[in-house]
Amino acid sequence: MNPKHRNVLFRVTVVVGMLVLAASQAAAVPTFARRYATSCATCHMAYPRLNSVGESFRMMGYQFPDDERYRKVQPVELGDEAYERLWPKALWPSHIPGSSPLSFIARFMAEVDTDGTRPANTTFLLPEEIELVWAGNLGDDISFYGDIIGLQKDFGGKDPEAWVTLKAWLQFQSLLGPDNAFNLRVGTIGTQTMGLLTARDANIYSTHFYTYSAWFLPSPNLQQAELSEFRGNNFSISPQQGIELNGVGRRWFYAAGIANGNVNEPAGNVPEGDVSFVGAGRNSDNKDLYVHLAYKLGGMAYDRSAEPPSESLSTGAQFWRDDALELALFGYTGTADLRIVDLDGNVWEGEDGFWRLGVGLQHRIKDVHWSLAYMAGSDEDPYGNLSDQVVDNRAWHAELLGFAYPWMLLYGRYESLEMDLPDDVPGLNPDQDIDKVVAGTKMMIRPNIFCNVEYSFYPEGAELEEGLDETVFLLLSVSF
Amino acid sequence: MRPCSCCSACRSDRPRSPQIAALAVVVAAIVAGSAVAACPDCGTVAGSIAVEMATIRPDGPKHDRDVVVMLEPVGSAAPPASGTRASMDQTGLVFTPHVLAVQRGTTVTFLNSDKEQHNVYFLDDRTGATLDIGTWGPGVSVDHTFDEPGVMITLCKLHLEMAAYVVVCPSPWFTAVQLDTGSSRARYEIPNVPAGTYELAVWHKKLKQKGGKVRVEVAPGARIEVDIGITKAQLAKSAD
Repeated sequence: MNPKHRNVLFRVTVVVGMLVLAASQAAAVPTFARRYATSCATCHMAYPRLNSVGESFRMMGYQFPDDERYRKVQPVELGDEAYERLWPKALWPSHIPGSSPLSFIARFMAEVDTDGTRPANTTFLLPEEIELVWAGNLGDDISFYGDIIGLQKDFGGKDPEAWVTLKAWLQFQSLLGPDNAFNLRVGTIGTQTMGLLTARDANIYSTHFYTYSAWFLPSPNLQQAELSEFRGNNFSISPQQGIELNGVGRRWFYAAGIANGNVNEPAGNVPEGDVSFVGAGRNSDNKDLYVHLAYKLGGMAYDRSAEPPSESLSTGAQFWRDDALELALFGYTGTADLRIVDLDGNVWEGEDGFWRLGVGLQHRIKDVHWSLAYMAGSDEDPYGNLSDQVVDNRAWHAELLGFAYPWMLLYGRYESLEMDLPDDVPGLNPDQDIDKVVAGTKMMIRPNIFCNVEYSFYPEGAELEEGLDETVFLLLSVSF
Repeated sequence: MRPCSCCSACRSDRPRSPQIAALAVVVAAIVAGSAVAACPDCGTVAGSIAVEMATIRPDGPKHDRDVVVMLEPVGSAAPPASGTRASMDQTGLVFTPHVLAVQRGTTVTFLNSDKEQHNVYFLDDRTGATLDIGTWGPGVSVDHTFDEPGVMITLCKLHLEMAAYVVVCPSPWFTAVQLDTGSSRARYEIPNVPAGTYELAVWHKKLKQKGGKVRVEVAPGARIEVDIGITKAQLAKSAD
């Protein structure tokens, strides 16, 4: 492969992957530990991954059943609840958090390139990422979340980059029917379940994103394709801007949304500005649609309603345990606007209709968790006037992890991505399939501090992701 | 310590209201702390407790104000184990009370007044031995009998910040008091102590008895004043 071409591909995959990582990483919210004066382990089996209590807390709009019982910091009233009875002759009352809703997260990373193919064999990213997170409730029926994430990447001693991303959403709880059956989220959507509930990037044990969800269709090399611009379909499974309806019941969860699509970041580059709103896209009438479904068999109910008062005495409880099987479905359909400009300035504009469909399962048995996820998709016309070929794709992963101690877990993951790329597009390598192996250990130094030691290796497609292949990652993260 | 040999039989599935549970805790604590019959030929051991060269956390669900004063007979047979009952609740992700003093042989009912699952897990403060008596849901309670004297740090594996102390005293002659938040001092009194020789010991979750245990001679009808200082462990040792 042409070294220059290879470098571009490397940059494309890594940078977009890192963007996804940055967009979805924040999942630990220590402000809740302050609100309830409780340990991170109440909601996290090993932060950021949630245990069943935390998953329920998140789905229920950051509230426990009988929430007032557990609050150690009471919210500030913005009007007595009696004003509800006076409405519309009075303002409907509300609340704001009684203490700061802010949390801070920092990640420090060192990368050691074990095969010596990168300009710098040892890379320090200290810190790699700093996150400011706010989350909480405005009364019982509105929840909110936002984060500002600043991060730097070095790409193995190549070109250091740093940028800031922003997210925010507001959710109105229980609009109709039973509690939390119909909730409306506005803002950055997909932060909790874009992809599969059973394989959430915001919920991983490892240092990096899931390849199966972070990939996107590669762009051709502009020089080889004799183009001055190629704006293709930059879709990847990551948070977007839009509106989502979601709900939770005893054993089920759903979310359906309309998203802006047409993600603004040009493929292969960091955001055009140093500061970017996650999921920002060029507005058009082509909005994308997605749906998530999840069902849980056994274990703690999503809404906690399956815990009868006489729940019998059990033994061997640990904060990470909840023997259960979760099944998940994810579907996404959208239309991406394409724009291709050749060296003579001729402009071709068109659309790429595409879809993704995924299934996943996650099984927790005592101290062992395993999960499988498979996603297939198709793009009708991703390369516009350069090729007429439909591009199908398939991605899957399998993950296994186990707790050696309450503070130490071991994990391994295999991921695979196949794309039926056309072989008639100049400057496009038609073979960009990837197989990836990840093995590591995560150690909770404290409930709010962890470190990872992780190795990733690519049996196939190593040249596409040099920044991750045969690399040892050392990650230290703290949140408070 | 012996685990309850009949946990399933001891378990009560009848939901109790938090108010009733709290009342039960208070009553049980009072009963446990004064389970000594009136004795005209007995004496009284009383005095003050003062925190020296240390500070305590005065408030919050896990404050440092609880102190237990206990007497252990010297040279005579150990008093028979108690058959009394006491109670400890788990409510709002907090063990209540934070410190429960009981006599050896007391059966403690552990309630779950929350809507969360709770676990009770003992760590023997002296030996480091552990015992998980189980996990149970809302409204359920489990009994456990403490047969050996010692301090059982009581934890919940599902909520790591939750902690309480069950101080198992060797005799019925003990009292639990709380230090004043301002002065860090308290008065204690153990009435109805039969005449004899005792070792007076003080337990505090962070501080130690300055100079160690104190030998006291109790005469019929006498009132003995023993003032006690509690301080950091390293200072308490140097005072031995």
